[in-house]
Amino acid sequence: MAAVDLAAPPGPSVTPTVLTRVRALRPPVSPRYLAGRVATGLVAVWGAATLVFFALYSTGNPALLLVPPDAPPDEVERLTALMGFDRPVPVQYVSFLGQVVRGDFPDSIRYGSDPVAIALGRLPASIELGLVGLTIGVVVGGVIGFVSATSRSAWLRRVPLSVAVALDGIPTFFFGILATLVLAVWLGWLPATGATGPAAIVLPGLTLGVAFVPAVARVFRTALVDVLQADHVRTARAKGLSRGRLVRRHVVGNSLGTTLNVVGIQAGVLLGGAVVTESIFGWPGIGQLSVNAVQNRDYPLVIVCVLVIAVGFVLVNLLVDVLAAVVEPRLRS
Amino acid sequence: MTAVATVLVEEQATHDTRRASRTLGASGWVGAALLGLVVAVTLAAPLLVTDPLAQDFTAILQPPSAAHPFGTDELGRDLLARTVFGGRTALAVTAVATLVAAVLGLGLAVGGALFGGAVDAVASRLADVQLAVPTIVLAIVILSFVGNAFVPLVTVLVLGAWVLTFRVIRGHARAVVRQPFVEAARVAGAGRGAVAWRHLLPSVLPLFFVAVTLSASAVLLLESSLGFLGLGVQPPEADWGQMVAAGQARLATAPWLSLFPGVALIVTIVALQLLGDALAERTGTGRAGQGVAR
Repeated sequence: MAAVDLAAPPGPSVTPTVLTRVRALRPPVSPRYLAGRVATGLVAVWGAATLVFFALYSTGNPALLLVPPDAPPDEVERLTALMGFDRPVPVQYVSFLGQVVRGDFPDSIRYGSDPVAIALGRLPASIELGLVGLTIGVVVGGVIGFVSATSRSAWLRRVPLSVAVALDGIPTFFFGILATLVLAVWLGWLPATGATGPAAIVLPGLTLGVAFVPAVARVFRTALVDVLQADHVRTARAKGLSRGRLVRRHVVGNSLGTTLNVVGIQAGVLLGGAVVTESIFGWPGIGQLSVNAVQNRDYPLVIVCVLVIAVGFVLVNLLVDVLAAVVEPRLRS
Repeated sequence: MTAVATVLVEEQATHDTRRASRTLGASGWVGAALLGLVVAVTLAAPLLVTDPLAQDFTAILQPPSAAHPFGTDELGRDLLARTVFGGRTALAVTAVATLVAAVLGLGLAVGGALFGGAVDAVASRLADVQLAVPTIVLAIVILSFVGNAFVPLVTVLVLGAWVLTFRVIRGHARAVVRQPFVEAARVAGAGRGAVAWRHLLPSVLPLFFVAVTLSASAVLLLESSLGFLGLGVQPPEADWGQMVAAGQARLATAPWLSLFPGVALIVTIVALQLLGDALAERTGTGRAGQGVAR
């Protein structure tokens, strides 16, 4: 059984635990844990809304941002009074939070309609791209992490991980450009931009997925190596368990909690990658919408996009926390 | 968000005493050499290359040649000069933002260790808030409402990066303060300032350099991503991320427009990561907090 690589450098000191047996009829996550996570998420959304509010007011009169730059002064004044920008700041802050809760915002300058509807209309495309990217990232990163922790071949333990780590040095946007150049321009296998046909998602999905591979590979490998050194694994090995069975039954499950949690921290990185990826490929998601809104100075739309992205980020984190708690009960504290 | 994981990462950063090697190792030296080369070339830019803004309409979109080793762009500007000066912009912004972020993180971590309780609690909550608001959202809000001049841009990068230094140093600083020799110094009458200066700072300095190097690569990644999105340094001033974006439209006919600035960017980021990893290995820090800002 010398195949398990004990000579590999030790990872972070996460004490592995034996996975407690799942009892029948017990909810996977306690309501208290869930309530705590939801509360943290609400605080984060409130923080984002506050940030938007103060950024908006640091510019002087926000009415100037809500009208086209060539609007006449009386129009600005009318809007200032209409939107209540002449009231004291604390009053406006409360009414802004009310707007956020009701989802009631001034019309988009560019599209002339409700910005919430526009932003939500772009969500399905973003979710589709996110799922494809996440799948690619988790599968490729997971395989690389698994192989580099458990393979008997020194070559397989080192090379794929090195490639993954090297990918970390390539900015997402430049990887997207390189992939377009090679796969679309030089080889002509794929369309370069736009969301037409099933092939269109390959380049953006690949770009987004690759941004995720290094983190998943590194964290999963570290977690596996840690669990491989645990007492219960030594015992299982001593009682003569086959290598495959050992890894399947005692190692992988115990590594998932830590992996999920550390990967969850990286959700923000994935989100940034999604905004960049959508912009490179003209993918009609909310990331591209928000960048365009900034460039068009369409401030109502910017506000809504930022809030929708913040809420999405919070929901993803919530999901990751719950999943992590399901596979690793120790994390429910 | 994911508070437990934050703790895990912190523990990884502080209590993980892995084999600390004495030298930088081959990859560390390669990183240091590459970084030195990039910095030297960008610093000496005015001596080495021509004016990055000089237009020459007789030589538009030339492929790389002896006269223009990196080719020219759609205004006939020399791409070598633009790449070198673009690096100057990118590295200047990165250096300022990294130093401010690292000193801020160091100050909050050391302050938290010295004064304990409230200071540390506030700083840790701030770090949690920072992790709960994606940096890209922060960037979009600040750069769209406040504008993308130098100060707002650096502010965004600092807000995205200070947590890395803070988390790397916090646990170590707290552990050092509890050491018997610090207690002895206190008993002997040393004030907080003296403890910080004589005992805490020398002890966290190696970690600080690791954090600075790793933050620098993260900050450069974020800076170039913002440049690419059109939220960072604005034309006509050259900047790597922005140049890659400008070349994207002509990828099929003039790929050198995007390739050269992009490769320069990769070389710099990889150099910083190699050096940072080697320094981390040397101080036994591990690769904690990677990818905090991007």
